[in-house]
Amino acid sequence: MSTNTAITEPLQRAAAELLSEGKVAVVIGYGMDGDSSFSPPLFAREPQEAERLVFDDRCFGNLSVYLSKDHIRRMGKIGIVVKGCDLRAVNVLLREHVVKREDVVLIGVPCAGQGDPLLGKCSVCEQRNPQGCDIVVGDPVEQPQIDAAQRYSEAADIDAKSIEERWEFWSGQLSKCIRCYACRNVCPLCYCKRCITEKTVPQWIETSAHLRGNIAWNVARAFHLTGRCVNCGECERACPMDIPLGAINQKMAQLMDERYDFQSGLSSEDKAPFTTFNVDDPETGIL
Amino acid sequence: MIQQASDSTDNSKWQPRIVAFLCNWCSYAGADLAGMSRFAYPAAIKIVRLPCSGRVDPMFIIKSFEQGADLVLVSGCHPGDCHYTSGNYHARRKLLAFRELMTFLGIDPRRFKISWVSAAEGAKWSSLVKEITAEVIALGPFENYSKLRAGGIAE
Amino acid sequence: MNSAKVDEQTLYQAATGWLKSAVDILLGAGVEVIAPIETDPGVVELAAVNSSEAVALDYVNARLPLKRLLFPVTEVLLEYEKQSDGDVDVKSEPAASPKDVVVIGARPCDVAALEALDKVFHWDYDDVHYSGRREGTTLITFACTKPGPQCFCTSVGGSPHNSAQSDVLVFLEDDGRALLQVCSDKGAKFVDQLGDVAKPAPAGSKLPAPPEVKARFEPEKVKQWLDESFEDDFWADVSLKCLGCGACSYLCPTCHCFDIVDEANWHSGQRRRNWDCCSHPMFTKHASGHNPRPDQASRCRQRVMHKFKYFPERFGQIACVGCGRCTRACCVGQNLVSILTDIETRAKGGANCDA
Repeated sequence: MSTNTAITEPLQRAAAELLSEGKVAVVIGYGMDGDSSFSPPLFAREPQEAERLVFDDRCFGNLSVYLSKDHIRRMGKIGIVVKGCDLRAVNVLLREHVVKREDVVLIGVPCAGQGDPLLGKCSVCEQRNPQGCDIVVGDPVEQPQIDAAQRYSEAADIDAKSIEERWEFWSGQLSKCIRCYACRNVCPLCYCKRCITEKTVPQWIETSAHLRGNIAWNVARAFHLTGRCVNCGECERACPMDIPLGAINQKMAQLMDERYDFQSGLSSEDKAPFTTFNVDDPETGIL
Repeated sequence: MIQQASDSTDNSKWQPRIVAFLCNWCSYAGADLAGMSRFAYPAAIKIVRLPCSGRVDPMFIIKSFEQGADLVLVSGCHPGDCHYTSGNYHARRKLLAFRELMTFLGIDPRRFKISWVSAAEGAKWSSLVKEITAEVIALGPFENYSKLRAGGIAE
Repeated sequence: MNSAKVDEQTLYQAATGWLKSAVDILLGAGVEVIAPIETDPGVVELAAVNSSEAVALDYVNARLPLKRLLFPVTEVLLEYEKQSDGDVDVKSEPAASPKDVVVIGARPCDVAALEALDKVFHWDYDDVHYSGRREGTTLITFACTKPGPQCFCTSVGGSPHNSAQSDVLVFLEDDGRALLQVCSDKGAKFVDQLGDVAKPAPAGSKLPAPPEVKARFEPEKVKQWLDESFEDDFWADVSLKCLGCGACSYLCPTCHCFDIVDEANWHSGQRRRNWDCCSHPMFTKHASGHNPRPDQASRCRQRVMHKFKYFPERFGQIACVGCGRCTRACCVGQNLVSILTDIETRAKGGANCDA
């Protein structure tokens, strides 16, 4: 663990200023916890609390998940610390009218990657320097060029398997699911007030943690995120059973990229692939 | 035809079950026309009528498999012919992506068919059902899914 | 569940290779053996083994708690099927007699947690599904040698060498030898079954000293504050970051709440019991739409209150064994020890919310 003082200090100053000037009611950032293996979310509501904010290489969480939470929104205007990857989720929330731009102050932090060794998503990150924030603290970091093969390598590993091998692999993985819904609750884009798995008339998704119910749940989750997921990897990080959920999301993102030249969250103005169509969209595989 | 093929499978009692989600305006009318025109087609197919192919949620398909379908078909209006202008264009994007998701997860994509059948295509409907019934008979029961019928009390 | 009191000093010693022999003997006798195996890289789970080869020895704790073997994540309570004459055939008896199972290698905290589960499942109603499995299970616990950074068993009345609810407590030595402390009749039967593999330890044999797990708070002080603080701003503060998933409860060795669902079609169906969790909004939501625990603050409060106030009042013990899984599993770093030390500070008159 190493605290990035070049970011932490200006971040604390910026947050304290926003709070003391009353420009925001809360700054959502990262704090320290000696027992934890990462820097957990911290909510600074008073200027003096800003000095507990940190930025280091353990700031794994995507804090934008809190932007849709009622108990946070009730506080008032929100200042939020965003890495480039997190900003993509904010863009989707803006695009989907969950959050209004004027209701948030985006505090961007350049990020050369999280974790030691680097998290998988960070090694192929294309948004190290967040764009379009209200405040950016710290100096820009070098941005390596990433190609599509690197971007979707996790999905490619599974694509290389035969259909039988894939069934074997996923039925093993999804059998582990205990239906705690950490994947859903940590997802910034799973903001439905009532999830389909909680609907009982009809009960589309069986809530029992048997493989049949687990497939239905994970298929629904993946499909509801298709064309929306920004591959922040939070679902996979949150999964207490270590199911490689990121690979499923990555596969669907790859499909949207290849088929519709669309990557989610790069802008807050674009349209998700499933909300639009082209008359001459691909038709292969229709009888 | 069904009887012949069934004899060659391990379980001679197995009959294929196909669930078809048809849009009201084209494919359902096409199937109706096949009936009125007395084009015979296999009875393995169970039709569910929907307003539009755009109404199909992937959960319909998963639920069908859970309840014992060996094959699921979604059929709608040809591109350009949607009663609601664009429902089938949306369906096209979603359902093709869903098939890719099935493929990625190892759920045999041959078990999920998509077709465009117009109200005038009774003959196409008839031959389509014959074709996919033959295919599902060749594939046999969807064992990956039928095995998922959850264990009993002594599990 | 340990019917007989056995002299705590009933010690046996086992030579290197004893574990392999023990597993082989049990498997040979047709007993199902559950032991820690590495299921994912760096992850150990208690699961059925076919040979001693797969047994993992170097782990802090299994990812899922022992409770799942006795109270599974999902289980069938009854099945029903419509008959051709229109009657409905209902099967509600569980499997006639559950198999004998020997669990080798659970940790003392997980095993001690069964005391809480036993109390709940034998409380106002004898849960045949749970107790059938419980009676058929022999628990050969491995004492902790290397507790994890989130472990806090000593704060809640446990210890790395806690023998509560164990049938045998095993002290592994680095060279593969072990001392076996017999704690119950079932344990005596197990050691008996091992034959020459385990011999009575020489008089004066001493148990190794337990590794240090620092006590972090006093549960009595925590309860004092909880008794008076149902309505306190603390709950809103401490629950700010909680996202309301079920990871903490589902991984908790003492959490035991469940939901009962019917999964049916027009012809037949199953009634199942599934794990449920007080962090989920749906847990308390009424059919009317009213939710008596309307926010995460009240749900977080429930989780702490249940473990450290309600459960002790009803059953005379804390519903927490300090395994630290909740803290390890939490994706937003919610730390139960921080919450409890904060509460303790408040009980002593301070008010420093650090969680």
